[in-house]
Amino acid sequence: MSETPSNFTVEPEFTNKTLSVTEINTATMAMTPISPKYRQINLIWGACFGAVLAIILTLFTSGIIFDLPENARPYVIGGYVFIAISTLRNLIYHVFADPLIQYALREHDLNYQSGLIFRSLVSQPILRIQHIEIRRGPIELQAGLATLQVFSAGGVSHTFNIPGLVYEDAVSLRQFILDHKDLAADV
Amino acid sequence: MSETRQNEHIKSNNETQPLLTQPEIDANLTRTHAQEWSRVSPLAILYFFTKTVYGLVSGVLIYTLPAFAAGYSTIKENPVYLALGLIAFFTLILINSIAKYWFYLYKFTDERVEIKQGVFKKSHLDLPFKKIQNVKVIQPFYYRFNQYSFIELDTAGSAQQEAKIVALPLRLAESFKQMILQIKTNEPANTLNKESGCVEVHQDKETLLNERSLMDLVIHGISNNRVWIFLGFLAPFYNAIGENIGLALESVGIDLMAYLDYESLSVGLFILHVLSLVMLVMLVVVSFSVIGSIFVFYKYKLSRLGDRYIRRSGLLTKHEVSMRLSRIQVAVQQQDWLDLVIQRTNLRFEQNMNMPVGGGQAGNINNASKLIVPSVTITESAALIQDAFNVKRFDSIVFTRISKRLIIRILAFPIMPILVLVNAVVLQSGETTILGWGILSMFNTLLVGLVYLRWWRWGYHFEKGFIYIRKGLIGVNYYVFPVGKTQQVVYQQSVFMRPHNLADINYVLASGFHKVPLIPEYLAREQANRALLIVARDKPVWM
Repeated sequence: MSETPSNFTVEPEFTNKTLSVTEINTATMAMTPISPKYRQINLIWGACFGAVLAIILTLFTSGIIFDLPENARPYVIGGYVFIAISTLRNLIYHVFADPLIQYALREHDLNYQSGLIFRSLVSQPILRIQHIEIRRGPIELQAGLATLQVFSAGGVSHTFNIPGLVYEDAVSLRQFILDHKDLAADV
Repeated sequence: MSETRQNEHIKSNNETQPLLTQPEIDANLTRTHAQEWSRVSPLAILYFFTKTVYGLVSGVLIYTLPAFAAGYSTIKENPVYLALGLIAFFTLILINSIAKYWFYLYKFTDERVEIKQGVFKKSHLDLPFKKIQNVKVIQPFYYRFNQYSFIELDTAGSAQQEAKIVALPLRLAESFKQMILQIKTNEPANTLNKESGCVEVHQDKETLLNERSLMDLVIHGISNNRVWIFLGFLAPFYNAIGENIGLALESVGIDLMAYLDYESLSVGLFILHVLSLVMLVMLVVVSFSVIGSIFVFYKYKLSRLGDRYIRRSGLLTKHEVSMRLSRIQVAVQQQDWLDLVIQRTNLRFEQNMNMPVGGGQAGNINNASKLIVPSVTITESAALIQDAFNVKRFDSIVFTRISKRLIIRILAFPIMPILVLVNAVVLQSGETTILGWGILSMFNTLLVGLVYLRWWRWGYHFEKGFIYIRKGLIGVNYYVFPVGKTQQVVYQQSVFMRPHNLADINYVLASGFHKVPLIPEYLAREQANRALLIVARDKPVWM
């Protein structure tokens, strides 16, 4: 994480810059990658999940719990293959897709870029933010990471999420947004 | 407001005229403006009773019908117990309703309305007027005889609260409504800008914008399937209808089994019988649809008071929905194939979708998040959209088509898998006759033709801060919204689109999202930038 929390603090002086389309261009803005730990967590988690599924399958097919019919053998192998392929797909996806996750906080909006095959850039104007949350699961807590969730009136399915943020950065981002003068302006 | 005061008020306000003059409102307000907790009319007991009974019948009793059917003979042998049981059942509901009425208190102050309710589970709702999105005055049929009504207050955003003040005299409800609206319109108007496209006009008199005649409602019933309104009404009685329909047909001399007995009929006659039966069913469905349409839209009036639209309609339960103009996110002109033939259209103004869903006899048709004008002519629709947004007519716009790659996108998924599956199944099933080949190739052509039609319908136009979208399949829908209403903008590009310099743009509004797929990359980027610029620079209101 290259950004330090102090980078997000609000300028005390009043600014009144003229905004133009060239200035607000999202194609040229500088973006910050999220923490590399996010990929590590996803890889470990993905591998564990695959392993757990394989263990469950082994338990059910080993004959300890119930006897398996003779002709079920190919289906069991199919099950293992399915688990192996989906786990591998999952891991490969995270290896390549997670480093592409970037975000940018600008004077008036928050941007989040993600996706490997389908790339998307979500831009959330700060004026339209309804409320903001920092979410941390037990694994994120352990890794010192957090997910920033930004809610607009666009509905739950369009919640703006930035996962894999260093906790302090997430707090600074939240503070910047909460202190933003536009936040109180919108009705 | 004390009981006696309220009773005086009822006596002095027996008329049914919905709109009040300023002195009347002032007089009512001084009387109703008491800062103490008040109780509604005892008629509320009727409201709670009806609501509980309906809730029990449609939610619980319908599932216990099989149990009743199984124990029918036992019940028949003990009619006294049945009667006693029913009396006990209704008495319990009555006691519950009285208790609910007794614990139901409300208070209006200068800035807020408060409601305390609940017998065991107490709730205290404190609702500032500023948070109220819509005020609906609803008159169920059982309140119609004595000019009573209840107010439904829709609140904004994520809270998903819904407040009802039950059993108020109609005039008093009107006074409350106009008081809330007055307080809200007295708020300083936001500076709005032409580019952001949010227009707010200040007027004081209510002007009628549109009304629908009975003929229009019949047309609406025929061209739009409103049969579910009727079906929803009949839901508690489905089983009984199902059991008795055969008997009813037999009693009028129709033996369904004999009529459709394919063993004794020739193929031609059998097909004729099936067709005529289908026609009969369609006729019944259309009639029900017309009835449904009349139920909901009877005496439909759309008028404008200051910066608000007010919709009034309903046969049994009169609904009144009021929507602030600045809260309209998008105007949708929707035409099904039949609408295209008869040159009618349904017009919808949509606002914040996160609002509680309005109940009533028509499900989401009375939902305050959508203001629907049924089966208007294209000119009427254009005039209404013009009134709300000050935009061009859809038929005067030259829409730009999106990239033909949409056809490839839809063909790749889901059409190709469907085609492969269907063709494989048909060809595998043995010898295919010429008729079989014919039907199969017709099916394939139809499906591909529909995909082409889907692309052909797609069009967009960006002008002066407004986004115009045309899309559809057999019917056609037009959307227009000010770019200033954008909540979030999403620019999307897949690796397949990049070599062709194409991208999707998705505008997320409070009423839902609108995606324009496969447009030139530079245009998608420019439009996303423009949306961000307008929101950041002009700060247009969305609510």
